[in-house]
Amino acid sequence: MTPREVRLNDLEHVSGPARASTILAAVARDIHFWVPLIVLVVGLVVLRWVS
Amino acid sequence: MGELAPVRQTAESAGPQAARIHSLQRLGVLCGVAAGAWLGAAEVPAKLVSAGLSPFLISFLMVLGVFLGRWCLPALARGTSDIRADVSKAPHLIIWAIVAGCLWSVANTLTVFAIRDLGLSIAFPLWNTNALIGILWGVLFFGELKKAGRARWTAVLGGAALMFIGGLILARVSASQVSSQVATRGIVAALGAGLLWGTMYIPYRKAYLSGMNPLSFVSFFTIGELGMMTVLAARYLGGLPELWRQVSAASSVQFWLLAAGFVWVIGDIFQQYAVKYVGVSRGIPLSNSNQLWGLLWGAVAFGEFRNWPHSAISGAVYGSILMALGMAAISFSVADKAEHDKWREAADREQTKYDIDPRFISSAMEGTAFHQSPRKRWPDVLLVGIATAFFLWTATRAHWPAMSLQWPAVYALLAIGLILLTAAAVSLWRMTHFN
Repeated sequence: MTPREVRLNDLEHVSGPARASTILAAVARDIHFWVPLIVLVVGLVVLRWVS
Repeated sequence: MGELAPVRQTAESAGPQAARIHSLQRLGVLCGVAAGAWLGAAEVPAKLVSAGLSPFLISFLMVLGVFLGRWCLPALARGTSDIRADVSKAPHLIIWAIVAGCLWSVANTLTVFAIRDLGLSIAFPLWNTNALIGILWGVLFFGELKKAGRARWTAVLGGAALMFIGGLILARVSASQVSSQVATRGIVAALGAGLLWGTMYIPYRKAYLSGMNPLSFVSFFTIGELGMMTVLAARYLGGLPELWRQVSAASSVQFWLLAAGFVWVIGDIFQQYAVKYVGVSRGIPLSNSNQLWGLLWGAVAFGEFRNWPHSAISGAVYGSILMALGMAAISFSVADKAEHDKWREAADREQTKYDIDPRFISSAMEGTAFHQSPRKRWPDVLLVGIATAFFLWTATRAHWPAMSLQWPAVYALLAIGLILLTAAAVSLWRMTHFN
């Protein structure tokens, strides 16, 4: 199975790298994930400015 | 999608009864109130420390205390076996937890800069705008307040507005003159912290809609926290050797900052349960009552009111009353069945998106245990032992700060905090066994 074919529920049957890439791919497809990530970058820019 | 339909039906049919929903929401409100008291008390140990330390060093030492607290308290309450079992059901939440931890660290460091430039009393209400950001994300992404009815919308938004206005009044009463350039920098830092902390509730809510236990979530959250804080401190203090040198040089204050982090963890764990059981839009305004508690500690325990004019004391009282009214309005607007069904829909979307076991989600929403893992005692004892030894070691090197305290007020506030802690912890145990 390629990582994208693996369901998150079946991860116990998958080895390390495939497991990690399956989880990462699932998270990256979630549009909600990009909101905190963008805000984190904004926060780092603000921190650089105030420090 | 088609194959998931029967599964979703099963999850719905096993859904919580209305009475159980109501009880869990009352529990969430109690946790939110306890969170406010303990998050407010977290300022006390930090306040004992004299000025002159780098904001990055202060933040780093607090996060170290948070890290120790976030591993030993969950190990005590549920055990590492349950944490491992939880994560195996929703492994993607490790990434979400780490991102949330990074957001927390950057926000916490920004607050140290904001306090430095504006003072605690002005900076506090500015970063408490996180409640408004949290409400926005809760409504947009998780169906909170949908089908809630006009009365509940009014109570939650009106309550949040009252708390915000009360916060602004509290800020004004002790405001001192600061130069406009410094003020601008401080305001940007405080608002930036509010944005980051408000957005941090996206991962929180996602985790609890997905069935994750709050105690498991915070264990991974803190890896992001400590990792990001170490990178920031090393980057801005001039490298890891310089960070280590400054940490060693601050041996007399390490304990107080670690203790501040630990007390903060107690408040945050209650905040996590509040978010789980009443959602972001109610849980965060409730736990933002920490500003009120911070003011109480400052006014009555540290005697900050002694030299204040009568008008300033009146302002503080009015601001506090407004915050208390806002808190009461939100506390009495618990979600009904129709709104809870919208939460259930949001949980179903997470179940479909990440292919999570629907029974895992249902049991979490009902506040019951999904799995009973055989508990291995030795890792839990080891974790708690290491954390305790570290705290004791720093305590032996700590100096009692040269500061006069109003001890009767300290005892009274400690007693109230302990009563709230006991009430929330016992209720959580009785109703959910910390699930």
